[in-house]
Amino acid sequence: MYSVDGKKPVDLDLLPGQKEIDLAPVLQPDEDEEVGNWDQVTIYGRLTIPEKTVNDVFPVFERDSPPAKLYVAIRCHDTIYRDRAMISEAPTGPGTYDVSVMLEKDDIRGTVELCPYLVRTEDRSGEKKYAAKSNLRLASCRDYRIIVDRPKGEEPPAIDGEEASFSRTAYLPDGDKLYYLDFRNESRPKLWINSDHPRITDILQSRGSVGAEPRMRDVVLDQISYGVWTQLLIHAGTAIDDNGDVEYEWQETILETFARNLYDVEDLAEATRMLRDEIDDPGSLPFLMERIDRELQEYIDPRTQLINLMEEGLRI
Amino acid sequence: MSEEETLRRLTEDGRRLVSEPFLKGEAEIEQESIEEFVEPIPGNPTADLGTLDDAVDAALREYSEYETAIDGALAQDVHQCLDINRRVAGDPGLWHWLAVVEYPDLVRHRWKYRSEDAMREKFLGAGSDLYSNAIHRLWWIAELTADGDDYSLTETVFANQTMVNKVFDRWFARYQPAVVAICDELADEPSRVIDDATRRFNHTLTNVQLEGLSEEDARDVVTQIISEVKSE
Repeated sequence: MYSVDGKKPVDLDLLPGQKEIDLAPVLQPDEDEEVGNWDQVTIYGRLTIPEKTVNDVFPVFERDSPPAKLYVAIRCHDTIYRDRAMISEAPTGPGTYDVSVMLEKDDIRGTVELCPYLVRTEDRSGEKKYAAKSNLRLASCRDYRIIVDRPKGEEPPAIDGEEASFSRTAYLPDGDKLYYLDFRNESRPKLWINSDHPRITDILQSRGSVGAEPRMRDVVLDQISYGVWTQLLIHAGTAIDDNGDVEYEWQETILETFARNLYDVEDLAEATRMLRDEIDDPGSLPFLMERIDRELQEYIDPRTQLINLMEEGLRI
Repeated sequence: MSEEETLRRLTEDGRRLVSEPFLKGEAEIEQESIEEFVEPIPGNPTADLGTLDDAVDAALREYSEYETAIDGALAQDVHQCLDINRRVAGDPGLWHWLAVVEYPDLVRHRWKYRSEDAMREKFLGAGSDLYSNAIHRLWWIAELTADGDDYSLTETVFANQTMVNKVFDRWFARYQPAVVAICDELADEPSRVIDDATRRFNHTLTNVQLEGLSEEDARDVVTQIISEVKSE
């Protein structure tokens, strides 16, 4: 969970294995930031120290009251910032600990890393199998990255995306659909990915650019994006009014991205008018679909990802 | 007290105006050319640039070219005159603007042109690299060593270039309690000890968790290391 400026905490809704938490859309400052729209963010979570971990890092006589502290290291490279949020002073034994890490806007920008550590607090003699000096690192786990500012030049996504079980959610389509583009809120379409197919959603979570899983991920994403772009383009095209304007920002983004290429003209207003005219004329619809198909094949470039996957699979 | 001025940033595209003749001091950038590549910083942070101008002018008069003492003479002024937090200081564009537009003479007076890359770093370095941009490094080292209005440790550090090089070019220098402890304990030590002790402290951090150290903990670790170095 997280809260902004002490307001009611909101669920982070992390997916299995997700380590990157993008708060940038929520925290994005105003254009001139005359009045900063946030001052602090508090991230809440839970850390569990298994009994096995304590047994692995302390000699028997220390295990009932381990001389250890547990904290979360906070690092922000862009602001040369290193600090910690103490979670438990010594003794710290097995169990689950509530974590609360407050980040001040003045101290951070870009990406902040959070990494928990279990650290020894006392020197000890004897028993050489275990760490004996204070401040030695005993255990840690994976780090989490909190994105508080979007990298410069990176545009916000045109639409939101989220995973959900279609079979358990009444307003999502029945059957074994892979995805669903939700236009109930016309001002902000949302892409739902069906978590009833964990093998596929696991692949979509994979990171990196080499290896079988990332290659497969890129192909699956291409497949989904082809259908998504087609729908977004048709929706945006039908929303063009007589003046050539559209109501929502995402529609503008779509038209700016595709309209000129669809008609091979430089002027966006002219391309938008041509798209509107073609949508209005049932006779030209097949030609429009052919144009869209051709443009999306250029834009998405599915052949590259497919070749990469084939080469990975065939070990070429 | 001079009037507060709003700080600005040089855009990414503005960096292209920094030519080799500019780095060498053989050419200047026309005000009209640079204007379109300078923009406000979110939050509109301010600075007492009048006071800083005076301090820079005095340093240029008082010190010969390339004297390292210029750093110590200006660090406190740079830190105090710029009314910024870490978030703003983390914006490379601010430091590029200060070096390229506001104080290019200072950068060239302090740093001899040895190569295009080295000089480009003094004008256009910044970000998480503490040891790059000529003005950025003064602010950050002061930020990490000052105790409120007390800049005595900052002065100590800048009086010893070995310390500046060996401490602030390492990652542990981002953790203030460790910086204060190390700089304090090594202040009167010869270069050989500073060199060896900082290297060993860095090595110690492969097992010791840095953010868990209090200033006192860090001091204990450093004094132990110094005593080992001296006994060898």
